[in-house]
Amino acid sequence: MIWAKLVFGGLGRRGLEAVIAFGVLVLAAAIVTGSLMVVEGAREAIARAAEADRPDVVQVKSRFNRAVFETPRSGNLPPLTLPVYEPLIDPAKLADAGATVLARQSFLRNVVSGDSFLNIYIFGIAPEEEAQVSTFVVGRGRFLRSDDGPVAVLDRASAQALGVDLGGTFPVRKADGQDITLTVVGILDQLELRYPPPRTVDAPALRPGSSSVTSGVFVTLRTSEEIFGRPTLTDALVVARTADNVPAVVERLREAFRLEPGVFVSESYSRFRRKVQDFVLTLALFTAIAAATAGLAGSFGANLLHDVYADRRRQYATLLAIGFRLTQSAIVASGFGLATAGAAAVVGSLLAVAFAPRHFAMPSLLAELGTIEPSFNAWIVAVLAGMALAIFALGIAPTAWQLHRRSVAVNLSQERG
Amino acid sequence: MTICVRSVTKTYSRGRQSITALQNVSFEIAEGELVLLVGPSGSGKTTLLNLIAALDRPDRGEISVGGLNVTGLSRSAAAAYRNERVGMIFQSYNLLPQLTALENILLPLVPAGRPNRRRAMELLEAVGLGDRAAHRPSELSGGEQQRVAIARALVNDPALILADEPIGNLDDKNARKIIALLWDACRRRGKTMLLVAHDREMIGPADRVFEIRTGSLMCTKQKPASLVSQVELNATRGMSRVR
Repeated sequence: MIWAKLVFGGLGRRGLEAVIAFGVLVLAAAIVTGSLMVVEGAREAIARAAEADRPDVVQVKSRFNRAVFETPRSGNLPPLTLPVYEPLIDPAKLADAGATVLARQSFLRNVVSGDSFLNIYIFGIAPEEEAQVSTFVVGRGRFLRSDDGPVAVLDRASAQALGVDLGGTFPVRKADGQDITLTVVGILDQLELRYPPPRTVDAPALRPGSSSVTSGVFVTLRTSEEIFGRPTLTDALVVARTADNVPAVVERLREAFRLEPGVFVSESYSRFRRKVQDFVLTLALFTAIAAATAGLAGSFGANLLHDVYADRRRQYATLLAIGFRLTQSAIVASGFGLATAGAAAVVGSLLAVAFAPRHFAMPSLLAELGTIEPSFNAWIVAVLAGMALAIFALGIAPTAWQLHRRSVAVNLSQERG
Repeated sequence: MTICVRSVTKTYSRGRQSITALQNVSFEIAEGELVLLVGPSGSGKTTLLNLIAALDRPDRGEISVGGLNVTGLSRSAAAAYRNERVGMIFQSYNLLPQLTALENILLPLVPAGRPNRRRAMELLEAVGLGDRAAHRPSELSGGEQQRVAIARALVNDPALILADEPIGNLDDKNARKIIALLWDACRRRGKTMLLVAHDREMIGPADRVFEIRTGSLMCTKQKPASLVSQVELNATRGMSRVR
């Protein structure tokens, strides 16, 4: 009981100021929390958009890959009698970008099935890396592994068209005219290929009518090189460390391929930035509101706390004079400020969480991100804790400094100041 | 507990002005001795008590209490020294306004975590305030606050009592009661005591009387009168060794 009285009692005429300080800090904490909840909700919306759009991914594609590989083996012309245009993407040049490279070989093959043949898109990929940018939902079996041999994972539509199931095999004609037999190790229920090639010939599709390829057979790059007969790539994805690094990566790629007009570098970062620009500006506004509130209300609250502390300085000196240790006196002194600022932060944040709207429409001209859901998370807790600590520190610092700088006797003999 | 003060000087700065509160003061007080410190206002009496209680540090000189050099103590060690060895009665009481009289008396026992309410109540009754235990300082008169401060100084059973005008605000009856209490603590329980008084109302029970004038210590002694001249002689040398 004595400890509680030492910490919270003896406010005297400053009691009203302590109450006002508490109220101001509650209001400040509520405004800061509300603003930061909107900011966090908007950041999550942008993060979701970034996850969908992947502005950090840059595509490098060759002009000739479609002309060469979409020639089906039909009619009287076998594919190797057509002019062959070598794809121009040299994997070594991609390394100049200083980012993660996802090499791809994509081509079209006729697969003979019984007495008929079928157009099938075949993709040579690096399985682990490709799975980070594209979506592969394996329904049965497993996905590819980088050390796999002549095995394939294909979507449900392609499997049905080929009449193969898990463990089944089908032949694919290689560039040297020989067939390679691929064993099916996985069937995909869903497939979302990042930067898919345009669909230009009739082939099985998971999403009929789509303008891009929605199905295909996936093999490792080693297998696709064996089928293709070349190590050069038809396209590749380059993943920058962060989206903001994309311009630099694009510049380096364009520099690397400047003498090769058949290679194109394209990015979605600029479009994404334009899309979310006004969203980001609104976020900055809410962040500024939070910062200004924290600064103004916090300094006002800290000043009120300072008045309370200055009035109690003699009490703390008295405690030291009758033998309270420094740590014990510090507990008594800091307990009041920490409890006031901390309780205000908790109450304010609870009020904000209780009364904040569940959905908030950010004023945005271009971004079609929908309404955002304000969210409360650990980062906001950290900001509020930091704010409370800063207010407490500003409030107590002058008194603590006076107590430290002057002797106990001097502090005892002086009124506030 | 013996007190040994050697060549202590303390100067305060007030604006651009420098005020010498104590000038080359030296003396010794033996264990169980009751010494009265007299002198006009601003002569340095409270400063001397503060230095002995390690509430302040001298600019020069050394003070040892019971063999402990209190001038070199850290803040924490000084707090422990005050809590364990010193009972200080402040001129302005320094009672905490949010605590009751009883809680104020208990306060020196709180740091060690052993608040003894019975002991505090006994002291409160000894100073004639048994019925005011639940009253806060604002509900007590100046004299009553003074008595609470005296009880607080005694609650830890300190070996050294430093009292800054302990009966200055008391009427004759209560003054006699407090004098008797302090006298009893000193004589029967062997405590060393240094008391500050404006006048010489406590000169009777004192073993020695130190007089401070403008920061310099003069030592006088009324009983036995034969020692007075020797004391004054030593005081002029800056050191008193009278027993």
